[in-house]
Amino acid sequence: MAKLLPISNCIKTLRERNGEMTQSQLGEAVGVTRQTVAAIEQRRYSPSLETAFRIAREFKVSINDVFEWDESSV
Amino acid sequence: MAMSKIFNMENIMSFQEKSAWIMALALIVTTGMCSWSVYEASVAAGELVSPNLSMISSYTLMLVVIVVVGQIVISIRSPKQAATPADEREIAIERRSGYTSGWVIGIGVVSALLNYLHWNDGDLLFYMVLGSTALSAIVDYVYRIVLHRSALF
Repeated sequence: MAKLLPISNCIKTLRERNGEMTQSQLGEAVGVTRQTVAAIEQRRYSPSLETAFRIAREFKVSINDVFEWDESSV
Repeated sequence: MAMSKIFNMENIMSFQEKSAWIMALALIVTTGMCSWSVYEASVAAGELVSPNLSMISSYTLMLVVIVVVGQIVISIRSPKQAATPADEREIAIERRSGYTSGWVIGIGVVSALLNYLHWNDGDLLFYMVLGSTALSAIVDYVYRIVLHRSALF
């Protein structure tokens, strides 16, 4: 099984809560590809701070509500 | 419908990954053909043949044609993706694969120079430098594909 990066997130849940937003739509809104959104959701890529803020802003929540440091995977 | 879904790479691969596939395949095919031509000519001559400008330029032209046609095809199929610049993850992938391929060409060229100092064979020096350049480019694009697939960094 692929190693997970230590920053967990709830982007998928937030997308579903926001009118079933697709990964492509979110990617377009924050300036990354659909593949990058998928990689962030699956914890295979940690976004830059700027992209993390853009994602939080898109869902109108704070960055802490989207991303969390997962102590168990360190 | 099912077939169109299978061949619809739009959602599976980003434009950068499709582009890397084209470059990798084009480089592998042309480098393989060029290497085979040199090998066959050398076997027939009984020694390593001297580099031939017309042969090298014909394979270079073939590489350029395959890459240009391939890029045009993927750009036509995904015009929106083609117009979008690489994002932060794709730039990080390019940086990492470029670092690795830099080592490949560096080791190849130093080996070629050491080989020249020992054997004093200019033809072999040429082929080793050309081979290192091609191998480094292949490593660059293949590693990009691997990173696009795994994205673990």
